[in-house]
Amino acid sequence: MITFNNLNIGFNTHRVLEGISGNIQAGQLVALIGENGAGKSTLLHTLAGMHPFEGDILFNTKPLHSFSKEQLASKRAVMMQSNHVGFDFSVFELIAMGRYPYTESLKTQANKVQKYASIMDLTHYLTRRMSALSGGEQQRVHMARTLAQLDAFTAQTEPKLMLLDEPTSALDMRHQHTLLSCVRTFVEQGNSAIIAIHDLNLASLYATNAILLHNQKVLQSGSINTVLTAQNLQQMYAMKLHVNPHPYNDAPMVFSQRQEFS
Amino acid sequence: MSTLTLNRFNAITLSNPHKWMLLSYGCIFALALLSIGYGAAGWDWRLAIAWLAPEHFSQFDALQINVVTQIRLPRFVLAVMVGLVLAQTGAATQALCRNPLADPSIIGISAGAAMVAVAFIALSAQFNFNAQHYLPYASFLGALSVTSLVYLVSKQQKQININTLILVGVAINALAFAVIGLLSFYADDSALRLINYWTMGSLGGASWDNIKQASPLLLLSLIGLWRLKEPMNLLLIGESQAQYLGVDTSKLKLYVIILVALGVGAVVALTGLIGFVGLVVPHIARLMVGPHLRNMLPLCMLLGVIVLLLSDWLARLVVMPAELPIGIITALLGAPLFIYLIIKNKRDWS
Repeated sequence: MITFNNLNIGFNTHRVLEGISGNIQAGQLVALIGENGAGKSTLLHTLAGMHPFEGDILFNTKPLHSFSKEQLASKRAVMMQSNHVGFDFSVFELIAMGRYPYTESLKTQANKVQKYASIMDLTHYLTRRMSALSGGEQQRVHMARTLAQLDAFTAQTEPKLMLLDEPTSALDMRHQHTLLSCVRTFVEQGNSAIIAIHDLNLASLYATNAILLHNQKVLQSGSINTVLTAQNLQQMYAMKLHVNPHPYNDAPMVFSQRQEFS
Repeated sequence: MSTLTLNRFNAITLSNPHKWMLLSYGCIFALALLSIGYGAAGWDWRLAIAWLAPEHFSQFDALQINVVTQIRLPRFVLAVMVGLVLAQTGAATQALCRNPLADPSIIGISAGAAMVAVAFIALSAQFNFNAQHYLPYASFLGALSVTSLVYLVSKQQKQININTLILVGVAINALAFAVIGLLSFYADDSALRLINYWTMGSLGGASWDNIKQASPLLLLSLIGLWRLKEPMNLLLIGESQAQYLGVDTSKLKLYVIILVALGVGAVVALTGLIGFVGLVVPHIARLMVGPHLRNMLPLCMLLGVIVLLLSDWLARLVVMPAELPIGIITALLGAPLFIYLIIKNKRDWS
C-alpha cells in the first residue's frame, strides 16, 4: 500500500526524522507511537505528500510525486491534529467538503454526508454551526469528513489510505471506541490506516501493527504484540512501565506507576 | 436517514439563500429607480424610464434626457460593476488570507494601486502622454505588487499572520499617501484635481468611455473569481486541508492574487479609493447565509451593489447640488464595523 525507504525529513536546517523506513500493507492499521515532538505528525504529513523529503515513498507501488494532488485526494485522506476553522461553517457544509474530489449531484452528496454523519453520531448536529459544538464534537465532524472523502464504507476498487493525527485526543471513551472500530472496519475491507496516538491501550485494542519513533529514528516496528513490550516502552519513555495481557483478549495493556515529583 | 431529513437539509443548505437573493434584487431595482430618477438635474422617478422612449414623456426636455443617458446611466452601471467587484474581491482576499478582517482597502492593495496610478498621472504631465488610456493597467500593476508583497511578508509557514497582515497594511497605506502627497507637488493643476478626487473616491467621473476602457479588467476579475469559488471555499478551512482535498493551492493563490489585483486596480483607476466595502459586505452576507462561498458569494456581490448604489445616492443627496466623496460614506459605515470585528476577534488572534 505505502512503502517508504530511508526517509530524511527536516524543516530548514533542523532534521526531524532520519533514515526512516517502513512498509504498510493493505489490511493493516498502524499505530504511530512516540513522545511529543518525536515527528509523528511530520511523518504523517510527509506520507500524505505535504512535506518535501529525501528518500523514496511508494504509494501503491508508484512514486508518491507521480500522483497529482487531485488524484491523491480520492485515494488517501488526512485528519489533522489541529482543526481550528476560522469561519463558522455548518456541520453539513464541513462534511460535504470531503466530497470535493468527486463530481456528483447535490442529492448524492447529501446522502453521503448523512451516512458518514450518522456513523460518527452526528445526525442531529447537521444543521448546527461548528462554533456551537464542543472540541470532541468538532473532532467527530472532521472524522466524518475524512470518511466521506474516501467514501470509506462502500466497496472500493483499489485500496485506500487514511492518515489520522491523534483523532481520539478530545473524545470521550465511547466515541474513542466508535472512531477506532470504524477505522478498523475500514481497514478490514482491504484498506490501510496510520494513526498517531498517545493512548497505548486503545492502540493495542485496535491496531494490527505499530511503529515506535524515538530520537528521530524508528525504534521498533512490527505487529502490535511484538512492539508493545515493557522493554521497548521503557526505553522510549524513560520511565517504569508494566505490560500485562488484557483479561479478555490478551492484547498487551500498559500500566504506568505513580511518580513522586522531583 | 429518511427522505424528510434530506429535504430539510436541501432547504437549509440550498434554498435559504434564495430568500435573501430575491430581497436583494428588489432593493437593487428600487435603488436603480432612485439613483437614475433623482438627482441635481431632475427629481422624478419617471426619469428612470423616460430615456427608453423619450417621445412618450413630453414633460422632460432633451437636456434632462441627456443628463440621464450621459451622466446618470453610466454612473449607475459603474456603481453596479464597482459594487460587484469590491464585494467579490473582498470575499476573495478573506479566503486568501483565511481571515474575515482582510479587505483590499485595509491591507493596502487599493492604496498601492492608487499610488502607482497617481505616479502615472503626475508623470504623464511631465512626459506629455495621455494617462487616462492606460490608467487601469497602471493601477493593476500597483495592486498586483502590493498584494504579492503583503501576502509574502505576512506568511509564516503556510499560515497568514493577521497581525502582520494589518500592520503591513498600515505601513503601505501610510507610504502610499506619503508618495501621493509628494507627487501632488510635481503635478499640474488638472492632475492635482484628479489626484485629490482619488484619495476619497467618487463615482462622479463615470462615463461610457471610462467604463469601456476598464471593463475587460473588471469582467476578467468577476468571471475568474466566480469560477474559483468552490476551491476558494476549501481554502477557508486551511491551506493544508484544501491540498489534502485535491486543490492545487499554490496555483489557486496565484490566480486569486492576480484576479483581485485586476479588479481592485481597475476599480481604483475608475473611482479612486472606496474603502471598507470589501470588509462590510462579506461580513453581512456571512451573517445571513454562513461562510460557504456557494451561498455567500452571490449574495455578497448583490449586497455590494446595494451598498454602492445607496452610498452613492447618499453622497449626491446630503449636500446637493454639490456631492460628497463616496469614500466618506463607506468609511463612516465600515470603520466602526472594523473596530467591532477586531474586538470580537481579539481572542482568536494569537
